[in-house]
Amino acid sequence: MIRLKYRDMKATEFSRSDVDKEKFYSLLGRELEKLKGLNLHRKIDFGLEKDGKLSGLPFTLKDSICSEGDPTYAGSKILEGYRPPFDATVVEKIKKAGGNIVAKTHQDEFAFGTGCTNCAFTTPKNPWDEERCCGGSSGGAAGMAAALDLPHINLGESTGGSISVPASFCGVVGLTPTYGVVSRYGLISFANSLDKIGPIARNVEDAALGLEVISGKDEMDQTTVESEGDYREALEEDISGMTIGLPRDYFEIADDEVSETVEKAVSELEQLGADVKKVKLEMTEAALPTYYIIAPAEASTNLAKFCGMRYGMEGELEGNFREYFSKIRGQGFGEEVKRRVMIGTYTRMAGYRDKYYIKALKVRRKIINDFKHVFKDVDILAAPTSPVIAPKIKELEEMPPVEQYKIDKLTAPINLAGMPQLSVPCGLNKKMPVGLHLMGNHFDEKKILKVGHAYEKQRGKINYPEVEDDG
Amino acid sequence: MNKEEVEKVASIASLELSDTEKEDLKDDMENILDWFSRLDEINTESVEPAFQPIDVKNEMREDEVEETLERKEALGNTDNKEDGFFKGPKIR
Repeated sequence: MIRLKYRDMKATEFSRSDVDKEKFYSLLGRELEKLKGLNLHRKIDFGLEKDGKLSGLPFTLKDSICSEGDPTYAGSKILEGYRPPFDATVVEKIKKAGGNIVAKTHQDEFAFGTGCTNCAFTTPKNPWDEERCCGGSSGGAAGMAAALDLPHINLGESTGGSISVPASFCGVVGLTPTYGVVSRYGLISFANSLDKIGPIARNVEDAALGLEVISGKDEMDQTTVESEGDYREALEEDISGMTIGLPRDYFEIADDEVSETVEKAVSELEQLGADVKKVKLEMTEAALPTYYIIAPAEASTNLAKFCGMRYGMEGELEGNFREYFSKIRGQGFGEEVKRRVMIGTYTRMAGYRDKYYIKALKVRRKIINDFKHVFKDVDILAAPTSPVIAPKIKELEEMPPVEQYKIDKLTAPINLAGMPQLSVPCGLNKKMPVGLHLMGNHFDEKKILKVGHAYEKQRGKINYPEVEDDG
Repeated sequence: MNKEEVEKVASIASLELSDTEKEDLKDDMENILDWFSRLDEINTESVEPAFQPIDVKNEMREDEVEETLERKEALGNTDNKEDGFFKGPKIR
């Protein structure tokens, strides 16, 4: 069986000479077809790649990342049919390194969601339990990492937890880099001061390889910095002597069983020689409302460009521009998008700007300082990624917005601070995966990666659910 | 929040809403704004707003002429075009 050969093969091993690329790609085509019932991805045309450093390693892209000629809808009806005439910088880098883009993965519309239940086209199903969600907003990407047992890397994007949360819900590794490490040129923006593109994979090594490929300074994104190059170089380093902080309130906020699972993982890190100490973060409670002011405020300006002109949904050019734009936007945007555009517009309006928007930006400064302060005492932080395991899709759809937003409660703070995070699967609760969240100071990717890698080796192999072929 | 306020915000946001949507949004926004008010309790006196999570400096360079998208490619995603230009709705 050719498929068995690739079982558990890491993306980092793909350039091995005994991989028959032609056979591999026809197998990949069949496997992707088999996953159709999970609603994780949209098919795109891809050819055979076998050259370059990556020798044709498959990549999937979140639907909001532009790739030339491929459908790129950001989960929204208003962009249906859009095929960008250019590649995002990350895509350019993948192609240059010899990677192959093989699918677009589904996401919440414009990444507005915690469960991937706000996608205009479909709702991705969790490979561990199809009644449950994949987590949002990079749900399709995380589901793909769990369901596709062939070497590959998925690119997701996080604004407030959209890489870590789905990675945690699907039992895979999600790496959110420091703000500025990866260029966002060609990403359909949600909130410019928060958006970060990052890899989702089955193991830490592959995630590190993904970051290696896509990171680096880019003239097209002024926030970018030079890449640190080989993010895998420190993986095998000893973690003994490192200090890992446990934010007490994070464990209290999470469901008991989730916290217990993560505590067990932390004790394994202790066995590996890490020092563990409890720490107190002061701003946790404030982070979620702060995030839900800043992100929609920025989103409501970003989404102004979607108005039925130049690309995406359009209609007969009737009425004046205001009437036409309003009509198309009313038809093209989904419920959650309308809600966030309204909220974001309101909090920036004359008379409310100081009370909401500027206030939130000041609280954000305090949140950043809160983390900076804690990182004087500890190397990294460890906590549950999300307070809960993946909710059932039906439950989530019936939940009021503010309740849904709480799924981001433990990821919003670190995302507001633009600091790197790694979610690593650390066990099951009610047969669903739980994520260990490793968080580091700005540009400390290598620290969280090496702790994640050490933990992963200690933990051992994960038995991913077998995806049934439903025809 | 009342209906008029919802309509005002929707008009600024160029968003056509049905009556049901207006009703629902009125309630949702009330709840969400109420939740935001929790931040009032946090002392932010003499705290500078953080527009970015890390310090970002503007980098300047000389303008250079570079290749850009072909007109045909740029217009490739729309039916509303004329004589090589995008076509939009009337201003008035």
